[in-house]
Amino acid sequence: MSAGAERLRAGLDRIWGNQPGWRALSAVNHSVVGRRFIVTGMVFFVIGGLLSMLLRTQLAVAGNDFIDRDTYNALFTLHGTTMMFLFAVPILEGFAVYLIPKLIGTRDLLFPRLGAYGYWCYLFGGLLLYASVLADAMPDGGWFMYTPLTGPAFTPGKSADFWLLGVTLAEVSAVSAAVELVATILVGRAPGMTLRRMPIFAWYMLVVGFMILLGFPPLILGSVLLELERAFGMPFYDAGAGGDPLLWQHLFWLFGHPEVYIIFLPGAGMLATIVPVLVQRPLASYTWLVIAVTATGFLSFGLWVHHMYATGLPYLALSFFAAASMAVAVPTGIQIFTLIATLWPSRPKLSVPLLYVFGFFFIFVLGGLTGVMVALVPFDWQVHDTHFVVAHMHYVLIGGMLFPLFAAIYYWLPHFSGRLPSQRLGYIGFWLLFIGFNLTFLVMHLTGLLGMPRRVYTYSANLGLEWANLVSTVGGFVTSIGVAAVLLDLLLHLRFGQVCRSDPWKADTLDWAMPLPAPVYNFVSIPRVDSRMPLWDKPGLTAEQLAGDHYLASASRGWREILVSDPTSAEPTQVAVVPGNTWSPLLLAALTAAIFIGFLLSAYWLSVLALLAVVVVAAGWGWRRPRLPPLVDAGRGLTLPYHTHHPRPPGWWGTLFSLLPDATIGLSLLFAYFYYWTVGPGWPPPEPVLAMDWRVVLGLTALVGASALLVAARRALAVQRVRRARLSLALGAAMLVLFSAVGLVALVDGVAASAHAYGALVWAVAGWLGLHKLGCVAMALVALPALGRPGDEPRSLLGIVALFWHYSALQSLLLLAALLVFPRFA
Amino acid sequence: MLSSLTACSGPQSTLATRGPRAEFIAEIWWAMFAGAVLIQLLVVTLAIHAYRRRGPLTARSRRALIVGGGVLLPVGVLTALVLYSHYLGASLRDPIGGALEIEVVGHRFWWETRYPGGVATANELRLPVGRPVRLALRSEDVIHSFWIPSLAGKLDLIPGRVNRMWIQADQAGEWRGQCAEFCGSLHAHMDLRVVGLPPDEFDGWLARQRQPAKAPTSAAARRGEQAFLDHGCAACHGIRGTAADGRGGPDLTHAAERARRDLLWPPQRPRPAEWIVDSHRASPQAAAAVATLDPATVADLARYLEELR
Repeated sequence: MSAGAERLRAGLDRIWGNQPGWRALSAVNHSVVGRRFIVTGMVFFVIGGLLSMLLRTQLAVAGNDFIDRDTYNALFTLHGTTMMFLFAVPILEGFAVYLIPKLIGTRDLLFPRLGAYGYWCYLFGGLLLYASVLADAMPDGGWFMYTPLTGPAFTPGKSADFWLLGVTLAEVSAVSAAVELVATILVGRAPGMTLRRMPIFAWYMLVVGFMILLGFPPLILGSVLLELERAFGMPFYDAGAGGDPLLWQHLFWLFGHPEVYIIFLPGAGMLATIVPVLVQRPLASYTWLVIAVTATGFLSFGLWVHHMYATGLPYLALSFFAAASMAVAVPTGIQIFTLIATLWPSRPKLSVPLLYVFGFFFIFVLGGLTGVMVALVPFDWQVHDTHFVVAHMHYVLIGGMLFPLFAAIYYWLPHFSGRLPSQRLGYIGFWLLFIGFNLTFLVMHLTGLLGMPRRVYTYSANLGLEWANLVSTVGGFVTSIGVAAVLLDLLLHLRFGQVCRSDPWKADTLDWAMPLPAPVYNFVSIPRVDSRMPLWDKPGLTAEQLAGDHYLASASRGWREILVSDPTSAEPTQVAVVPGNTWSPLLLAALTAAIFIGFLLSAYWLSVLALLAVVVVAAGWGWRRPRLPPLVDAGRGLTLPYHTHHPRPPGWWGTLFSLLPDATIGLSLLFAYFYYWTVGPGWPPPEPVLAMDWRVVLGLTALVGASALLVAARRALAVQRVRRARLSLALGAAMLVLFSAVGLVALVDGVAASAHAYGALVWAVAGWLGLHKLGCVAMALVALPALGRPGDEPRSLLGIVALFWHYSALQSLLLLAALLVFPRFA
Repeated sequence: MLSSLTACSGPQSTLATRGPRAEFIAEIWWAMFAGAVLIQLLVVTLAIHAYRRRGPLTARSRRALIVGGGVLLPVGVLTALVLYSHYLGASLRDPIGGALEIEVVGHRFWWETRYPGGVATANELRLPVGRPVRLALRSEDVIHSFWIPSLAGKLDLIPGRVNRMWIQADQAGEWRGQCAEFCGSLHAHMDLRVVGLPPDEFDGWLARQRQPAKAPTSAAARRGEQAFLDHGCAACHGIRGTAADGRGGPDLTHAAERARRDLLWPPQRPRPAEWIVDSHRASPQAAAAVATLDPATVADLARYLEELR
């Protein structure tokens, strides 16, 4: 390697490097954040697994008194919650955070601070949930937290609050990671990597990212409403006061079913990446896979009611959801048979990742078949909430997520450590896991058919359930030994593994176009890509990018640069400077956690203060914009503007994708409102019509006026009339304050929040809109001084403000029309 | 045939069926089971075969594999399954008339069953054999789920709603049902005894249940009756024919005739005095009230309850 390239790499190391020692906590680089997600996820996996061993020990024999019933109820709640919210989703997102930039040929995600913030929220959420153990208030309402059992009447104390607040914090993390994955996949790809050339894993994560953005918000809203009911007696789920416990189930499963695919699809995407490399042939059909993944994403939102067959909904409605549930077998079948067809032509070495691929086939297909069975309404009436479903669900999740995850861990291990694991221990771990798993869960189908319900801490000796439960318990311990063997293998390889400095698999994707372990900046120069399998079609690409022959091969400017490209053509449009090491994500996450802790301690003043602090710190991210020259030489004769001089900077895309979960929460509120009107017991409410007095009219006028003023501000700015633009923006912000202080206050004036679910919902809508106006005003305050700053492109910032303002005005009008106009016709 | 294997029997088995609705589901299960085994074998064999085979696959056969396995196979199998279950289900229309109406109320953690004529019992359901029974299900507190696997699938009891289903027992016997929706601390113990009776026996039982409670005969039982009223038992329990008219806990008019009287098992049938203490573990307040009673009073109360036939 030439001395120039050597100097370049040293320079990039200096710019992209993390701080040593405890100051490493300020790191925001995607590789570090991804690794933290993965390691933390593994820790929670071990905790969740140990909990399951306690559960299985208790069930080993009938009438066992190893664990008392209340502890058992808490332990199964924690087991499910941990595996779903603190293991499966975060670890997969961690893998995506680590891999996606490498697969699509860039140096970092677009919003490194958001990624780091997401990690800290996840960690704090997990710690908050487990703080319940220390506080002797472990949640014990099940991972599904059905109301009214988890409401204030039947679960007094703080146990349910630990769950609601901890899990919501972890969900904030999932959503922020999804925003940045979606944005980066769409506009962060290497030059020439069109959508059709995108690695298949990026397609999977793009779909999963959108699913998280649309799937998590209903549960976030549901949890917030339940917390409001618990904290302030707003009776959203109380059937005695116009609420409905079934609303919780709808909101929960609107999240919960997509969640299953959010967990399964990344695993399938990993397999679709790994299998072609192991057999050294391209995927049997890239197009079919992309169609199947997209179809799964859409279908997954039409299935939630199949968790509610036994709630007494009309049979016709159930039939619709049964058909949709079965239809999802088609895209799933396409994915499985594409993998089989890919595997067909060759006879690769039976490596550890390939073993896990076969494990996936056996286990996941069986889980899919029982999934078809439980989609059939009458059969589900028998096995719903029995151990049959426990078995089904573990086949799907362990087959569809854990086995692919372990295949991925073994496949990408050299990437993290630059070493290879031991073959022998890997084989032993796999077989223990495979045999132990099937021993535990195959017989459990029968346990359920013989009449064993879920979530029982013990069972009667005369039901014929004893031998089956004993087999499951023995199998559970074999599985645990298998997991221990795998973990041991992973730990030992760090020290004893054979050193491996470059791609051991002869892979086709860009993630292997770098020395191992991967450098923090990934690529010395951002490679140009002109095919779907860049390393197979252009074997010299790795050497070229290492020599700095491609884009952005410079360390002289001293800041972290990445390319931003067009979503479809993938031609570069600008160079974005992304932030380096900073403490602000940790601070922001701590403040976010403080909002939740305030609720936990019933110290609501703390929550309010923390919320204001969150707005200030988040606004600070917008304040500290780097001052950049207008143009930069991106290499290979390409000159590009810096992102602060581009009308659609990354922040615009980030804001756009953040609006999706926000809009989904708004729509979920609307869903709740119309749900109550149509089927809620105790509806219509006694006083359903809100007054439309002059204050409301004034508020609405101010709302529309604010948006008009923003349009005027942008026009003024376009012709360089900065003062006029500032005046318009300031006036607009004042209008929004007027809307909140007069209009929203008039809306809730005289409406009791705790008498009826109707009043509670009106307050919830008013609060939701008020929060948005707070956000709008904060954005305006950030933009105001920046408008006149020399050497900056102010239009880019004002464009982001406009996106949020107009969107929020539309959402306000929609929700207010539902509240103010609809009851007059209902 | 298969369902007669000992592995599938048991008082709470979905496969040891005693009524038409459970039978229909068990039949679907065995068909789906056979189909699932076949498909599982097919896919796993294909995967292994794919791995062991040499020589490339043409683009055409690759597409045939994906379309055949991923589209045609599931669409064909699912269509067949839906048609088959529809065909079986067509014989299961709701009964037109002659049904007996029983109300089932879920409480934490016991079942209340209410029959025509003001009869209420707890943790048991008696059914006339061969006659359809229409159930109205509701809950007094949280969500429960009513499930008697030998007779039918489950249906939830949801606060604020009344859910309806019908069941039928085809032969006399005793089976077991259990709450299937997690309802809190003692969820695992919320089970009920189901008794199928020949129609004339059922009518006789119901007629006896309609009678008010008999006056106690022994001195101990008379003291027990007084203690029942003095110590606040009547705040929760009703006994028709006496001043006790509580509604929160089980009606005790014919308490001694219950098929199931323990709350926690084992033992299956504790002595009455143990029963009194044991059955109040479901509610902390009631347990505290019972704990204040001296043993002599408990013995009197037990004697009294023993005479409530």
